[in-house]
Amino acid sequence: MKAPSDEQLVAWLDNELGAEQRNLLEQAIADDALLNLRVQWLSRSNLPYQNAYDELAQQAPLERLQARLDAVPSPEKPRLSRRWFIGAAAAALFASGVLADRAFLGWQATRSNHCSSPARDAASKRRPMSGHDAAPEPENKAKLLKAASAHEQS
Amino acid sequence: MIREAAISEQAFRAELGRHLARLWRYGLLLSRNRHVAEDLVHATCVRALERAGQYVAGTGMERWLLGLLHSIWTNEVRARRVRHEPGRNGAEAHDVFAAKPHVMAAQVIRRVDALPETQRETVYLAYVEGFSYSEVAEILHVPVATVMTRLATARLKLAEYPPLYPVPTSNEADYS
Repeated sequence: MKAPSDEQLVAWLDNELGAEQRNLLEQAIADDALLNLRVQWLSRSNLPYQNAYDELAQQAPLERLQARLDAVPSPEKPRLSRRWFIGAAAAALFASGVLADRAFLGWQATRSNHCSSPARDAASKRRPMSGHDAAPEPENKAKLLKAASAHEQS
Repeated sequence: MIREAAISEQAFRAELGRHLARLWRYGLLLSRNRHVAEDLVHATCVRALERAGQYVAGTGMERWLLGLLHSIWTNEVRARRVRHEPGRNGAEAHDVFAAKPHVMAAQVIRRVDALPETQRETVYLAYVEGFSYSEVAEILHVPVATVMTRLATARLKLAEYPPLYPVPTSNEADYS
């Protein structure tokens, strides 16, 4: 086995090696007096860490920390009202889009009935007159809807 | 909507309350300043409540909280912490521990405290909190190999100190 690194020795001290690696390392330590000394040197850093810090934890200003925790407002309410706000805004946007669309179509219809443009005249000449003529053609309506929504978004 | 199903806010707060002392202790280890430690715990609580939906009940809340505190400290506090003088912080930290010193505890804490921050937090999570290497790596967002290197380096430094002296003192008498 290649000379183990300090990392490996520390991992062995911390019982973080797999069974196979552990056996290999233990054999190497048993065979090599210098390696054994290195492990002993590293294990000088085994200190009563938990006891020391448990004493420190007793100094924590628990009452004040708890009071501050209790004073943290519930994040549910603002999140909920924010959600509501976004929902309401989206609904309003949609509704105003529909209204604008209707208004625009209405205006377009009035315009085509009362003051015919040359293009409109050409179109009416191509097609027989009927009651439906006032309504915009399907592709025109799609364009208008697109225009209305683009207008809304801007 | 998973949030509401996971754990009720009341239960979440109660569980959070049980970890305050350990969070404070970790905050103190990182910042070496009592007031900063307290503010760090508070910020962690706020963040934890905001992100309660990310916590899966029964998966080790302490580990999750320590990870939150760590990232608040590293990303949002330490980077902007200019107004504190580092020299004073160290001295203050030692005053904190000297308030009612158990001779052994104070020695241990001073030795850990003398380590650079990355080694200090790694030693703390592995040897004080008792997390496995992979858990420490997860909390600190580093590879396991980094955890191993930090621990080996820290242990070599800690090994340099003379053995702890368990001399009974008048202070120790106060403690029992």
